[in-house]
Amino acid sequence: MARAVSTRKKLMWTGLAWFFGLLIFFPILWTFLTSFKSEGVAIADPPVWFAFDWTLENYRAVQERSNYPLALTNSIVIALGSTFLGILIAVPAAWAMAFVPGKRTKDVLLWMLSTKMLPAVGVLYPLVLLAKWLGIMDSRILLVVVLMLINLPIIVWMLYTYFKEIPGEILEAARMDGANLKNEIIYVLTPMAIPGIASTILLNIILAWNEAFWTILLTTVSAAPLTKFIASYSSPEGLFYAKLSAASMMAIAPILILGWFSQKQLVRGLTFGAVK
Amino acid sequence: MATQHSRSAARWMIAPAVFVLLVWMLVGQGIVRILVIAPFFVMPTVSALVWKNMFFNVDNGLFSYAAVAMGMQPYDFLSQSSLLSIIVIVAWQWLPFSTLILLTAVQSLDSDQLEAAEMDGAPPLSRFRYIILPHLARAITVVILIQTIFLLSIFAEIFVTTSGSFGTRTLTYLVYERVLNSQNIGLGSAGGIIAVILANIVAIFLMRVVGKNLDT
Repeated sequence: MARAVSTRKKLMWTGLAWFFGLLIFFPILWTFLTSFKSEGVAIADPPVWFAFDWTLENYRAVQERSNYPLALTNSIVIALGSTFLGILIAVPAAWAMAFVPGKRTKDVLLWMLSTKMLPAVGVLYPLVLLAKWLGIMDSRILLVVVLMLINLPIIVWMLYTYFKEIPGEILEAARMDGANLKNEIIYVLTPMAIPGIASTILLNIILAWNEAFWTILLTTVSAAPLTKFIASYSSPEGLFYAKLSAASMMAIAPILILGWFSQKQLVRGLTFGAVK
Repeated sequence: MATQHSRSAARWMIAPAVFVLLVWMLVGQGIVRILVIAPFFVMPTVSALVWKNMFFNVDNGLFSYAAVAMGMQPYDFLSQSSLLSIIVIVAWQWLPFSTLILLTAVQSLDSDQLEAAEMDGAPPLSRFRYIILPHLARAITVVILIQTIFLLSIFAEIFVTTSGSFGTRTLTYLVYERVLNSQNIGLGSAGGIIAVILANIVAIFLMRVVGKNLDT
């Protein structure tokens, strides 16, 4: 927008933007501040903003809770595992649909997308039954597979839109220069596809990390990730605001940082290319 | 003479200050965006518990403190208007998503059109009504459709705040209760099918928008 806007107007709008930005961010800021307070200060009335004794006590207390390291490991294994497995399946699928489209490619794509429209609860019972029958309830492998399946349509779609953007002329030029299929894939297509694959991986780690339907319902203890670990704070004993805040910050910090890198991919991935 | 002198001195001091402020805000645009987007990356159980305890709580919540400070009775949000409270939590989580989509759409607006309208003397309100809003129509449709589908299956927010009491039992929550708690599998499965049908009604429209885009 290269329109001339008067300075005062600009100041007013930016001020407004900052006001709403801070308003929206406030709950996270408040959680951050509370996580460094002692439990008594955390519920002080009137609230204390910055002038308190900053302490790391809560972070230590949360880490000493027996199941925190396990929950963290589970979250990492499930998020990375389901993303990796999904990419392994989706790259060939999206590749084929983008570079060798058939008559029904569009229908296949839309059909895949339609499974994403299915409310998870519709398959809750069949899945629980299946998991019990296989004896893999509350196991990491179950969650890796389930989260991979629910995110697979998004992975395929994102990769498809990225692959689609690789111009066909480049392939033709490579072929003219005598590249065979193998060289074409290794030296021409792969380097151009890597940025797209990277952003797909990023978005899917975030989605898998924050998934809170299957992770809560399909786990009890041994495979419970951070989402479930935090949910256990919903029936607290005694003063717990500061500890809740510390646990929350530890659960969201890594993804908050990853998320800020993936803003653009977010729109692309979750609107299925309907908004560009 | 003295006033004029001080006035020009003030101008000399204000000008760099404004300049610095503007530069900083140009950089700051990215920061504001980060602030607005952040809630989307907070996992549902965390945001629900933070809102429940640190804001809505009737004894120690910030809203109660604010109410008392203004001389009002503290209000128990989650049991008095529980549905509204959950709506606030979910809206907070999903606001960044719709903001990002609309931002992407606004940025693709051709500024020549706006300029032409301004030259022709169109007031800001009609510029918004006749140029910006039609341009955003498609993005708004997509936001409404996608969020309806995704939010039909809200679960964790209810699980950790009210556990389905105070009339906050959604279809998703009902099915969960029937299947996993009371083992009423028939009713649970029927609820699941109804959820699927409901979502499909919205999905038909969304698929049309997406499908159309696939051709171009």
